[in-house]
Amino acid sequence: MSAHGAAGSDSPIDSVDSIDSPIVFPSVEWFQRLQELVNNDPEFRRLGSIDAVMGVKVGERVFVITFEAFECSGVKEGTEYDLIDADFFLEMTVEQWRDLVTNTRENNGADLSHTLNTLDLMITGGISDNATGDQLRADIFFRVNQSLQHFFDTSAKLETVFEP
Amino acid sequence: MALDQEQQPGPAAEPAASPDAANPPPPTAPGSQPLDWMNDTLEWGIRARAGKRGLTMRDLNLGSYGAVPDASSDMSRRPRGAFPIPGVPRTDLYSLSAKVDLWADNAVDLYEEAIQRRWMAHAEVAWDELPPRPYDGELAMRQLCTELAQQASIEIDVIGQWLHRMNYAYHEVKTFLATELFDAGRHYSAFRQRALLNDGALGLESAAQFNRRLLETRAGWTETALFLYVVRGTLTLLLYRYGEAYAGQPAEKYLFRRCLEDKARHLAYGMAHLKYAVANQEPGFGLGLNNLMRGVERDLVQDLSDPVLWEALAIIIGGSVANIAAGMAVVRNLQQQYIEQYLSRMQWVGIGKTEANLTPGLAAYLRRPEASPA
Repeated sequence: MSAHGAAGSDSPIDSVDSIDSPIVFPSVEWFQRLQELVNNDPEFRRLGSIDAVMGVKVGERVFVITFEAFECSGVKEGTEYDLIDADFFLEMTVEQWRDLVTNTRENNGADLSHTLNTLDLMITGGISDNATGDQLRADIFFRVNQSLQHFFDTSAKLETVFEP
Repeated sequence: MALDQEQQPGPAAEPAASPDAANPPPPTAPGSQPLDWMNDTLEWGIRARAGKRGLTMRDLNLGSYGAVPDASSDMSRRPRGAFPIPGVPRTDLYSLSAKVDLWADNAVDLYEEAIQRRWMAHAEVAWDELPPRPYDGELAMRQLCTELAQQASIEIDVIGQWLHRMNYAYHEVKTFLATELFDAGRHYSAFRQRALLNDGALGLESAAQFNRRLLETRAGWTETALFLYVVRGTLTLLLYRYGEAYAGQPAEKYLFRRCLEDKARHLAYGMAHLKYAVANQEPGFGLGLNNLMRGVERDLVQDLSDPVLWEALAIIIGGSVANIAAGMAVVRNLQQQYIEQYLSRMQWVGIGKTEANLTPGLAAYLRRPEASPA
């Protein structure tokens, strides 16, 4: 067993322990719940500082997640224009996001075919990009990839429901 | 500002010889003279404050301690801002003593990122949760890991032979590159571990033409950085990414993912330095770099024609020798992505590399049927 246990085996979520009541994805509340969880998670801090503004595009809806130092410092709903200021944004269809969130919940973290990097290679056109073609900022997706993976894997703890 | 000027108290510096309540006079040793050296400083009054990330190198870049000279004739190893002592002999003859030859504005933050995101392959990767793949797949993974270990070992030697030539006035770059050396050492070790796991063995060494270019370039660090980051680093990052995507176990996925984080950080320095150099060197410097690439690209074509790495990847991706054809279709996507990203990164740093002036052997990778997802 690795010294850091679950982290090294790529299953960072200790156990599925649902928090509170079901929560709708996508919504600001869903991301805020993730924000609370990682900000109280020593493993997230152990992965190191993360400075990034990440856009999340779910169909037509846009969310902006800000990471600063060792925490997720901001969550808000935005518009397409906000993606211009993001270091990178993750874009999938509603169905693809639903598949990711469901897979993460069922496997206590994304399985081998649903990690962010894997999806970026497997889905036509990729899922991560910078809106202005800034390669340096686009690469931040890779520089902090383990923290981003941990962030989304943490959603395994949420009892998520989806918009009809 | 030249570093020579920095050797004298600068205009922003508070008087060194006017101790106040915050800076009392130097103590006197019992039965001796005052300890005058305690008064010798270029600048008093630095008040660095720790922020959310702790007390970082950027936090300490205050006053003269944060002044990065355009050029330095200081051939000592004194930390930037330390009080110079007359008569200290030169300790080196740095050939990289101009900011334009090595600088990147992001180096100071990348150093902190490297330190704060460090990881331990031997302890964090769950090696005991990595059962062998089927025989052919295991051999293919060992071959991939052997080549990745060699790429890392060459990176160590390339940076190592330039690092001591860099003037200490640019400690942001030197310390960042020291972390990259450490990262490369970790990658070398980690991929050897993966290859030798489960009664394993190392595979074949890599094709060598481009490695020789990396190791034998004498033109400058900027030219070497072009080869190391934009040419080699772009490929290495892609190999790590495909390694993560086609990993057979979570532990293997973790290994590749942490390595790709490191490699992306290395590219961030390399690209920022190249962009800075192209923008601040004499006009025509970028064109010169573009011209330099003609011969380099021919070497690259030769190396890329070696089938071993691609066949190993195709077996990993396809899952077996029997499915190598399916895997090879994905490998062709990877190759096309590599050349596309090489072009886009060259253009981002300001070098006018396009398909039109690309060596035909590399351009051929772009003219394949439209790539499907990996």
